[in-house]
Amino acid sequence: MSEQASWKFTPTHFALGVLLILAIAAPLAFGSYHHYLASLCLINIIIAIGLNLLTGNAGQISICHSSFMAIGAYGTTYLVSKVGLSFWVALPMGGIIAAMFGLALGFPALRLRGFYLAVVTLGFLEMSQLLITELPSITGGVRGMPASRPALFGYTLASDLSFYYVILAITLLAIWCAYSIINSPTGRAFDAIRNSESVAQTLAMPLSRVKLIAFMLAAFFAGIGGGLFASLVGFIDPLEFGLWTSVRYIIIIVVGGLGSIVGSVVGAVALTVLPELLRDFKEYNELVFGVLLLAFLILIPHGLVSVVPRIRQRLSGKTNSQPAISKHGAGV
Amino acid sequence: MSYFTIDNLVVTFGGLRAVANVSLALGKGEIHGLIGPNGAGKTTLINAVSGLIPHQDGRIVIDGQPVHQMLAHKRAEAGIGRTFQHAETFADQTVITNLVAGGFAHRTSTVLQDVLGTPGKFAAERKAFAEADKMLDIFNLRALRDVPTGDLPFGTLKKIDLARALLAQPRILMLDEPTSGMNSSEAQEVITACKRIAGELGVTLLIIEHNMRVIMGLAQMIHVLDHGEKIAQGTPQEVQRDPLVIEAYLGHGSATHA
Amino acid sequence: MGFSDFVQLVVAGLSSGSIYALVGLGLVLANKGTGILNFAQGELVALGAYIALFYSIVVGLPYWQVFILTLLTTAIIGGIMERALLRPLLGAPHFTVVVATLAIGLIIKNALRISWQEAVSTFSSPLDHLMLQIGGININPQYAWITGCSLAIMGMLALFFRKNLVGKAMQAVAQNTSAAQLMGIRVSRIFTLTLAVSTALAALAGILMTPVVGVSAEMSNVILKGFVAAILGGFNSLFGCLIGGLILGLLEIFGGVYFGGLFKDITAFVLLMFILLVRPHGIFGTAEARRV
Repeated sequence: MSEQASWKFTPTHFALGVLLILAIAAPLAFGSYHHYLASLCLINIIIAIGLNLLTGNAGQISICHSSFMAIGAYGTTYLVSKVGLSFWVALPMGGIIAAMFGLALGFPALRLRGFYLAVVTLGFLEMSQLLITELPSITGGVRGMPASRPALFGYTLASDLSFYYVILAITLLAIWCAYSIINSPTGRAFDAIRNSESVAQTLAMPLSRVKLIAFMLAAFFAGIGGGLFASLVGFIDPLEFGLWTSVRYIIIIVVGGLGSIVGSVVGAVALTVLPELLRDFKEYNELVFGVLLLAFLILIPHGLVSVVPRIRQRLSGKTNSQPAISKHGAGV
Repeated sequence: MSYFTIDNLVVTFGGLRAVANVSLALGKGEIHGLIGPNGAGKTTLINAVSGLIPHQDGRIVIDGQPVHQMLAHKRAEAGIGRTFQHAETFADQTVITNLVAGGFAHRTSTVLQDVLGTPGKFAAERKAFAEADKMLDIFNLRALRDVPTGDLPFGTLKKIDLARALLAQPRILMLDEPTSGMNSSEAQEVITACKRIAGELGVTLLIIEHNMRVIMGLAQMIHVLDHGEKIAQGTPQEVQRDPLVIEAYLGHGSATHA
Repeated sequence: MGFSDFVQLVVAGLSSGSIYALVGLGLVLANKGTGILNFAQGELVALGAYIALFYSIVVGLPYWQVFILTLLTTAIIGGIMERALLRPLLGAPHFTVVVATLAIGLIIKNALRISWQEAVSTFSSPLDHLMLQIGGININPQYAWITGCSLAIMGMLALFFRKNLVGKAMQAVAQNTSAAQLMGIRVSRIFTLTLAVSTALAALAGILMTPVVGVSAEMSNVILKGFVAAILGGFNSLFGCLIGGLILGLLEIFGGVYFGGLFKDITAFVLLMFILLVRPHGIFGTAEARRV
């Protein structure tokens, strides 16, 4: 009850409300291409939020997030088209299968300190790309695989607008879950482990278990994103799931802000819309984003979300006391 | 058999015996001091007891329950708590978040509840924050509640570290130089807190302290380490008169500087 | 399988194994010396191959000059990379360093892709038209050269670490940076030198691979094999990398023959998972003391 008593309508709530109304109403004024692009933004938000829990909060690295996406995409599509399950059953199952792969990968790597997880995920990335082409009976091999739009209450979500609203609902659910995790013992264990594994252990936090939970959660979010992505595009392109896609999600959370849900959202929207605007320079995309990533790491390590409070601080004339970056750092 | 015993503990670093067959016995609610010159192995002992570094031999028993084969987080669950020489607060998080993390061992929500955000989870959150807020008042940290700890002076960080460890409700609490970096009024605050922790809560305290005045007034029993070995044990008065102890300190430098 | 086939497979396995060892050694050297885990090592292999291609095709130099010049050029690039890009990240969280090197890799890869538009993707070597016969068995001279050259360079490097003052300083920094600093070693120069040597090792792998696989940006995929070689060897020694690399090379070749091409491609990953489950500190390794 005390929470209700202390709950106030703050400018943040106002901003969130406006954003939500915009997310619901604005697409009505635009055309199908924009609905498609907006849906893409939402899917990237889902995947980035998961990765940010793993990396920004728990301090662990995954270079195979595109593989988890692939597992979700192929898994969901296979379960729908070959097994005949409903999309709404297949989608979470795709996420669960991705999480199971996360468990199998993380189990050997996360017991050990240091960089093993990064290397294992790099290895899994290469192997998953190989298996996609080598197992054409499941994946369609190099030619890819068609995927269909789901139906809801007997009504097929064929238009990009209708599917957009469904993805919006799932994205809001994902944001809610991430918010709840961050404000929970599990989320505090993530943050503690990122800051200091020693301290975390002396506070009764089981290191390997907590890291595995973070890894499986991130894989689950990526799997869901992958399943939605396949259905949105209507086709699974095996070339979509390489190193570049994984790095793109890392760029999203670094540019947006590590450990911040708002950061994931800002980063995902920026990094989805920007390449679309720069489509004429497609050849230079990866190069430009590589430079962008490096620049953010060195110059703005806390991401775009850290810029607004800093400007506000400077305007109000307070001394600039930015929170120190934890030197104990992630993972080691 | 004492409430908390460390029996013949051995810790080696590549051939070097950092802790050599050290035995301690502490009764419930007692305050013991662990002193010795720099490099005597005091922090190493605490690290080994809390499970952060492996020990090669020896037993650690709390109230009849052996814990020396457990992983560090299991030992914490069994009631071993500690603070750190360098405080080790989570620099990018606020004071209150640091404290709430201390209550992890007593969480009541499951991982699934945490993920789904059930009402039960939020009720548990409110309780955890209420506990931490109480601790905030006990240590006079209320004004700093929402400040990231990276900006705070060292003495304050030491208090936060202690408060965080207390929220885990340990049965044994090992404090690594709890008053370092503090002015005398802050140090007095910690001394009073330690007496209450032992006296009212019945927590057994093992305190590493360089400030002799602090430890002599606080501990009923002092253990002295030198070069990894225990060279003396006794009441503060006995230890201060012990020729071995005096030699160990004079051989290494002044004994009484803060 | 006849004896001659067997020998040929062994030779091929050893040659790819020595490439993996070179890549792994570069990774270990950089990690031990500066604490950086360089995920751009694979792209540095490709960079070396492209620079060699440039010297060979555009400048028109003979193989031996290409060889020496490429190693020198890449060593300088490695040194500059350390100073300009990695130095600001010293002491940063593990994640930041790994992602920064991933970014550097991405930049190198795409810069290579965009800047090299020629159709040619290999350069000639004096061994191209040679035939080597030992005891009546035909041996691909490229394989013999790859193995021999890698072993020779690694041997020289081992001597350098043991006998030369600078080499010893590099060892000291790798073992204990702050102690080395107290002893008067100029740690920052050693860092630069370490990255220079590590980058040149990657380039060497690139030069040696080229006659067999041709030059492409995809050469960077060899980094995983390098990691596996290094982890197999315990991720701390030159000798460990060498043995780890050779084991991986031989396993791949023979696994490929007995179980098919798919197995050859997943050998590295399967071996990685196996070693992490069974002997996480490598075949020779012991559990290292954990820092608190």
